[in-house]
Amino acid sequence: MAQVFPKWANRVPLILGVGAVGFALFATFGIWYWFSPSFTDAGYRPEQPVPFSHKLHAGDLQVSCLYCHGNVERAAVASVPPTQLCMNCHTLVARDKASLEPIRSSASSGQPMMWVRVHQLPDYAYFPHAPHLRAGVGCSSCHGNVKAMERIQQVQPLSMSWCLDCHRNPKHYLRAPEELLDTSWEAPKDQDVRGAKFLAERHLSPPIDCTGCHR
Amino acid sequence: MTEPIDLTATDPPSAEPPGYAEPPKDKAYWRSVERLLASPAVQEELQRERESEFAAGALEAPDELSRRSVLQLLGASFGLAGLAACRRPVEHIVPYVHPPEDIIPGIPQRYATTLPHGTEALGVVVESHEGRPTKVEGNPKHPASHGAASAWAQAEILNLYDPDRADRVKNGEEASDWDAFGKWWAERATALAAGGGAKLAVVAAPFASPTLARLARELFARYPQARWVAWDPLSEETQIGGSGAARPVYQLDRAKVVVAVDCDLLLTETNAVHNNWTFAEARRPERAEGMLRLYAVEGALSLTGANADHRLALQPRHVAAFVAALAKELGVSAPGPGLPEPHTLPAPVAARVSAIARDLRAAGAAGVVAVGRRQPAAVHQAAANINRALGSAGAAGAAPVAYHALDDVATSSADQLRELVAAMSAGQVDTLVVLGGNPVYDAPGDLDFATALAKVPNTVCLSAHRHETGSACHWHLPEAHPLEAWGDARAVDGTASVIQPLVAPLLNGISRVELLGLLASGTAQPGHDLVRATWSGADDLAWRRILHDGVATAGAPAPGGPISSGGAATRAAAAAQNPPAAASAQAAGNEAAAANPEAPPAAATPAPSAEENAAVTTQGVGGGPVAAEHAEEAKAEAPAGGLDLVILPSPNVWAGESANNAWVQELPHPLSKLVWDNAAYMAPATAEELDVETGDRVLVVANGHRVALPVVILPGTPDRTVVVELGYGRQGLGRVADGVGGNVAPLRSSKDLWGSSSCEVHKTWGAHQLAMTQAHHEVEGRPLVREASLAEYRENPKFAHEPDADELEAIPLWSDPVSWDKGPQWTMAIDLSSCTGCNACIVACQAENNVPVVGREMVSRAREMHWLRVDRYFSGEPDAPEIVFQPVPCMHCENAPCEQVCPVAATVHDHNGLNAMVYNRCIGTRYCSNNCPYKVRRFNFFNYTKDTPELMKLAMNPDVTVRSRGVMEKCTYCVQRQVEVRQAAKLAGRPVADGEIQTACQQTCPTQAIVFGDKTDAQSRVMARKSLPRDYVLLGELNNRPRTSYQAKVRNPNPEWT
Repeated sequence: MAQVFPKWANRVPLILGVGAVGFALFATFGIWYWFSPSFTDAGYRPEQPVPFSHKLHAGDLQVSCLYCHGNVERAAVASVPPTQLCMNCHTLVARDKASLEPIRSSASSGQPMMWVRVHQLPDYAYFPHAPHLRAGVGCSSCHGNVKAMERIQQVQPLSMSWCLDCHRNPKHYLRAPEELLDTSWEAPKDQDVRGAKFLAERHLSPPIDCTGCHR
Repeated sequence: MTEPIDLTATDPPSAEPPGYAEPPKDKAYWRSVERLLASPAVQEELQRERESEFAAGALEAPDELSRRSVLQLLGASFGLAGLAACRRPVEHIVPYVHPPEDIIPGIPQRYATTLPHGTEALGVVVESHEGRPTKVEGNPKHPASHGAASAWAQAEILNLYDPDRADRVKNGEEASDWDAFGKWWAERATALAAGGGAKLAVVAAPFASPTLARLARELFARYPQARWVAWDPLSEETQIGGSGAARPVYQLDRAKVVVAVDCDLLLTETNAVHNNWTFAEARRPERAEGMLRLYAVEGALSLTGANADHRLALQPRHVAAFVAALAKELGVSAPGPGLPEPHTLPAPVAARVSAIARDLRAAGAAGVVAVGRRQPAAVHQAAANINRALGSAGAAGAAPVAYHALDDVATSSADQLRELVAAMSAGQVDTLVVLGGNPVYDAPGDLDFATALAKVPNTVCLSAHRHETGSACHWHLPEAHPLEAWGDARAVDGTASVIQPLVAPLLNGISRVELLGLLASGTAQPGHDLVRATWSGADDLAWRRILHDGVATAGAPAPGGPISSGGAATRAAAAAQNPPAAASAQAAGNEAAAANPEAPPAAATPAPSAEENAAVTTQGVGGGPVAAEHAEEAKAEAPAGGLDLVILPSPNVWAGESANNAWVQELPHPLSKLVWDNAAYMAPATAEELDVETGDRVLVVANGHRVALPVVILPGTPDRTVVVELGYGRQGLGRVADGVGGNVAPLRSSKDLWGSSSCEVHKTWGAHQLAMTQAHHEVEGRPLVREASLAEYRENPKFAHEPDADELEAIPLWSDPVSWDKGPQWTMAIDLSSCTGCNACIVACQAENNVPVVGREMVSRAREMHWLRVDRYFSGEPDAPEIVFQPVPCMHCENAPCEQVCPVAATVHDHNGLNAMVYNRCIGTRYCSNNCPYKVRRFNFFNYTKDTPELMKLAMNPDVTVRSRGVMEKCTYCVQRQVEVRQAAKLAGRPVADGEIQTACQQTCPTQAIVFGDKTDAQSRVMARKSLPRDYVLLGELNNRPRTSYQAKVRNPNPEWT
């Protein structure tokens, strides 16, 4: 009787076994990597209605972060500036620039600008800016080196585990007050010592309870 | 708060350690009469509920959504979910163009304003998020509020965002605008002015407002012959007439003995928040001055009666005789022939009169007799005489009762309304303006306002909804909500305050001030200017101060006396035959009061004239003759009868103003725990006599009109009495109100607004699905409420304490997840002695925490979502029960049973002792709810917020997550408020002070029954409360270690009373 299966069929179980393991590993990696906010969210760089350059304003011209995001020290939201604030300068500077037309028409018509939100947390997570700044977490810890960005983009995953990394070990990130707005800040060599000192001085106990952020 | 007195001083020395006094075995508590009276079917149902994990039917889908279609929907949404997740949703940030001053996005603002409610006003502070009001709180500076607010005030937010409000001026069915109306009115004004306004009539909803009063007087000056009728379905005219053109304002913390006669001081009478506040103050058992004793004698079970130490349920027809007997016993001169003879009082009650009288006499100037608006003028007069004789009537603030003149109040008059309807029918009225109110719906049945209205050629109606009256008028103007328009108001004690808008009219609303301003002056003026003109005594600085504080310290308009139309008075004088007696007597009284507003009623009360006596007899409760033809009709329809009918305002929707408000519709009735309905309430014995049960449909017949209502057996209702409530049975009002309950206003007669003594009840076919929360979440007769008399408390202060609770060895299933020694550790104390069961906390919680409304069908399946419920327990005999109220939020157990069964750790503890609920972890197993001994967890069986109208979404609190289908939720101790205060304190570099964090229920509580604070701070208010000897926890034997504890109820019965 002729053989029903060819010889190579002997290897099928092995191939299947290795393949299944390989696929499982690949799927695990795939979900871990491609489904995580580090992949899906970090790097989000949408086009804005006006090509506003943080590099030009905050970097080259050295306009303070607080000039536009004035509520960051007081409120939960840093607040995107009202049109009127843009016009404080742009009634004098670059007043005819074509790309600023949406700003000018917003100011004259009263229709608000529709900026695209880049750093987006789920609705059930409540992040307040003011206490973080007060504690000594600088802008760039979450927002990256904004002063070098032509178009603003998300650089951190903003996932819960990412939040908790800092809430559990804040000393790696705490800065001196004068360093808070420096978006090119990098942790100095003695950061852990400095951070521990800030942690003690400022009586910080970052919440790691659910109720800290969810309510 | 008063200092706790040292109770050990009164504790007799004893060898035995103070221990747990066994609650008397015969004191069984029951939640519903079905539970007590045990019809087999109901018992079976209750048994099923007891055995099941959830209440019967709780697991079934609603009718319109069958199991099959649910599965289809599930399949479809799975498919769509996959697609939707492929694309990141683009969200926009929309900043202001020109930022408004003082608004910092994300930080709410709070403005003081006033909420008018009939002829009273409550000073409030309203929270506003980026220009949208979201939450009402009391204004601590306002004398009617003390910082607390009532259920209706809390619910006003939803009235503001009611999508069914009228949104444009309409002329017939055509859309029009305010300018077009102004032009039309200018033409009418010329024609009307020619006759001195004799053909103009205004029907005004009740108000107490300096600006509206000023404009009304300007209107009278311009049209001296105009008819002005104030109509309030909750009319206080007998009270005002009987109290000498004044209104009693109580200061209960100065009283020792209070006798409430048909007087629901704590809920439906005016100034209820203030009454609750002062009542609770006087009821603290540890108070050094002694504890107030409350007697209630009433023809229908009221919240005040439920809180009384002694309550006499009396058939309404006999209530007046009780006051007559009391006056006689106290030796107060017979107040007039309007009162029935004392000997008509039934013997069991008559036997109690002397004991009450002795107690009152002993209290002297601290003894008060309070009579409610349902009683005729003669009874009010008798009560005023008694109070004067006791010496309790005196100056405002200093005496337990002060009689306040009705400054700038439009006093309702049923007689004037009857006269107006006659004039309308006779074609004497050419132009009728309905200035708020809804007379087509709520006018007494004998008047037939709708038919008369159709005979008036020009009609104008200003109202928030295009309701029964609005759709019957030619012009309809949308009325602005008090949070959208300028105005002013006077509290019942005369304090004037300004109503300032928090938001521009959302739906093109026009305020009453603006309309009356147009009518009075002929030109449309902004509401702000009209109000500012009234307050011209305040310079700009003082004005800003008044707006900031919410009450006027200086610069308030002078009291203007009551409002009465000159036209009506002159017409009354001219028409010799059939003078409106009550009106003229009242006008006479008004003049006296206006001359000397602070005079006690002795000086103001005129000797009873012949007309007044006549008026009084026609209004005599029960005994008054009803219209002959109606009586004939009623007799012809049925041979049996003679029941007493009592008509009450609904404590939820009142006379119908809030009928389209889903929060109040779903608010359990304080006594019957009925939602989404009104009912014919009757005593168990009466129901047996009529052969009806709870849920049966009956026809209630009175005054020639009939209304179909479901029966609810309510223990404590007097025998042979049927109690019905106003405000339901709406048509065409809106999606919430329509088809809910039956309208009982036609059962009223303009001669006796509050009932009838010849009511009949006929059983009809069919049963009605009633949604009552009273039997939900059954807790198996454990000693949940504990109470004692004051004497027992003094003898054994720790009567509520279980010694076992201390000895319980904490045997945790695992080691404590967190340590409890580092502060703050949040905890709550609820004083059952203070709680009056007014329900304000439930609505406050709902507004603060975005708690969804689920509807009648869902509630009938025990799916109500309220995070805080107020349990009501009866004890004793069903015909004379004692009642205890117990608010039950989440207990935040340290050793929480819910946490131990959650398979996904969706409910866990935080370091401050909160039992947190993590919505996004919850997979909806409901194990936690099953394992919760207090049944305080609520499950979202459906996505209840999915269909929320856009406008209503504005009412949501942005600081609290809106929950979706399939997750469990529960009280969080208002964690968002804790976070807000904690972060603000951190930014300011200071610690959080005691009392700075207030939960929503605590902040609104008019009796301060709820206190929240830090367990590790020995000086905190909450620990002072918890250190009282009557402190206990619910089900302590389970070793759950609840953070919420209760202070047992202490009653103050008369020792003479056996």
